[in-house]
Amino acid sequence: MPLFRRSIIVFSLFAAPLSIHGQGVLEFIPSYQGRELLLDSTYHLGNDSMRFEQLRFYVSGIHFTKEGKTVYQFPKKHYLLDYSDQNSTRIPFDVPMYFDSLHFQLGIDSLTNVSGAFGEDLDPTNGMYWTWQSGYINFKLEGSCSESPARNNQFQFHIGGYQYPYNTLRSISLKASGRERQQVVLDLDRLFQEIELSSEYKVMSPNQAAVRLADLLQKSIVSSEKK
Amino acid sequence: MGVLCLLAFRSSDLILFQRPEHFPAPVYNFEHNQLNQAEVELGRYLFYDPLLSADGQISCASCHSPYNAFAHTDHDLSHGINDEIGSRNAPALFNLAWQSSFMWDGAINHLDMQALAPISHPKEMGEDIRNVVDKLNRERFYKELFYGIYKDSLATGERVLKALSQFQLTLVSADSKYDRVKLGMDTFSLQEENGYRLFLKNCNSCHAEPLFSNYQFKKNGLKADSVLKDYGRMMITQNSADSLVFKTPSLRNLSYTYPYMHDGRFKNLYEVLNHYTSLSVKETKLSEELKQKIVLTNHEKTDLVTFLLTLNDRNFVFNPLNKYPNKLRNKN
Ligand code: HEC
Ligand code: HEC
Repeated sequence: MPLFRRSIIVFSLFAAPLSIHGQGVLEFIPSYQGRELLLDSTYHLGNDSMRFEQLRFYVSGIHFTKEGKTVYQFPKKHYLLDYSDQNSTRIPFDVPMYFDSLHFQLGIDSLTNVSGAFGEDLDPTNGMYWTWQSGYINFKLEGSCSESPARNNQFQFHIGGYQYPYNTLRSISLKASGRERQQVVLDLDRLFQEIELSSEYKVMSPNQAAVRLADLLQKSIVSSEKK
Repeated sequence: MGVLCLLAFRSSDLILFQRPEHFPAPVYNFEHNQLNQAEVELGRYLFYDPLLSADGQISCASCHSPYNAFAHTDHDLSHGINDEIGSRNAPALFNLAWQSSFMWDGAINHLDMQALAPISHPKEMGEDIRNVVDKLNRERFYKELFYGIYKDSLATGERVLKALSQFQLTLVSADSKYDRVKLGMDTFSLQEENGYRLFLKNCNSCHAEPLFSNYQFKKNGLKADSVLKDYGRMMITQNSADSLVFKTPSLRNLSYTYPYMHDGRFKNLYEVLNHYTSLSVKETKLSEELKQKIVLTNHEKTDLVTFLLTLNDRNFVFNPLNKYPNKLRNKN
């Protein structure tokens, strides 16, 4: 996989901090056409073209387990990953002695959703909070695609909703046998296999379409480790 | 004990927030946003500052005037930026600490998050919270206030929203004649007493005392306006059972908050009472509480209105602490 070639570069970048104090880094890597996604570059698929302009999402409650027992909890409860700011997509952690799985939630839990204003990653100035109806946007992906009939061929997926029946928070558990470097891949090829952009190009509120996309996202998040 | 925990002081001798003796416990979680004088004041400046709008013309108070118990009486529908007309009547703002959902349809689940709606609404303030924060960070007046409170001068979305909540939480209306009667400091006239009895019989199931609302979502039988086509709660839940369901408003301060209902369709309280007495109880679009026909003679209507007027709270409406803060005028 082309991803691995890239991870070598990442490794050398992080080699220095990794060697001290057992610091690790958890990376979330979106992949498209089999390699790491580049925002604002145009991809061609036959006659169609595709471009991603914004990718941001919340990851909450990240922790490692060993045989089902939690061995390490990440320091912050919620992380906003924004692919226009590469630092936000690499999360440092103290490497626990042993762990076999990585767990997290994609999105913001319902209690946080009903508890008022918060700062930092949850600050509404991040543009990840709906204004006309309360609730965090768990996942935002925007771009353009020649297939989309919308203005400027845009597509906009703002996935959120914390209340039944439109709850879009998804739990994810992955095998994690590695040590200092953990990579989670958001496989956009897999995601877009299931999306018909000519008809499904805009999801902007909690509804059935958002729930379907949340389910698809859950399936599109995989570990980079070989099974 | 319970009451003591909720005391917060605006200055050494001024109480910022206190649960009135005859009120239930508030639902706002003060532990997440503890009131203090400086933050309440900051919230008050923000509430009155048109800086929050895109063109610098519209403040929260443009639609929520202190002299109207923070409602708006000139218009049935709200007027915002560029004279844009909204689709709903601006509600009065008081006793917000007892409310768990906001807007006529409950679109907003927490007071802290409410301000995002008018700030971003293209027909209200047409702005973006990020720009608001940037503008605040450029003003010396605010930098000093933020520094005084947080020991760093940075405005953030969280700080702005929580300060707006703090000011609005201090807007407690509990000093009407009704309240004084409840506390044994006054007595109703015979007419008011009779109105109170009629109120308890016909209205209290939804407009429950002492807040004069249970803040639940109900159908009170208003037909949808053919132009506005506002179906209320259904737009939020996408459940057809919630069609024409709206949040029950409080009946305090009605003399200051006309016109009435979510679209301001009734100009006075007699129109409101005529609506309730003319309801057809076979109507499927009515909440349970209204399935018993309301019958009121003209005398009884007068008595009921006389009682409703005992819910006016002049001391709240004319409280100088809630008014436009003069320092704002000289800030630049
Ligand atoms: C252009 C007029 C306008 C402006 C400006 C405006 N509001 Fe409102 N406000 C309204 C209307 C209309 C509603 C009801 C909206 C709805 O039900 O959808 C409302 C609702 C509210 C509510 C909910 C009350 C309840 O009982 O549910 C609060 C709180 C509030 N506004 C506070 C504010 C604050 C704070 C600001 C400034 C940041 C502000 N408003 C600016 C018109 C306005
Ligand atoms: C089924 C519950 C219910 C009952 C019973 C009820 N109301 Fe209402 N009332 C409501 C709801 C809901 C609204 C808001 C409706 C809307 O705007 O669409 C409302 C609105 C009002 C308003 C407008 C307030 C404002 O600020 O705009 C007044 C006044 C009022 N009711 C008075 C009464 C009186 C007087 C009675 C008894 C005769 C009564 N209501 C009985 C549910 C009820």
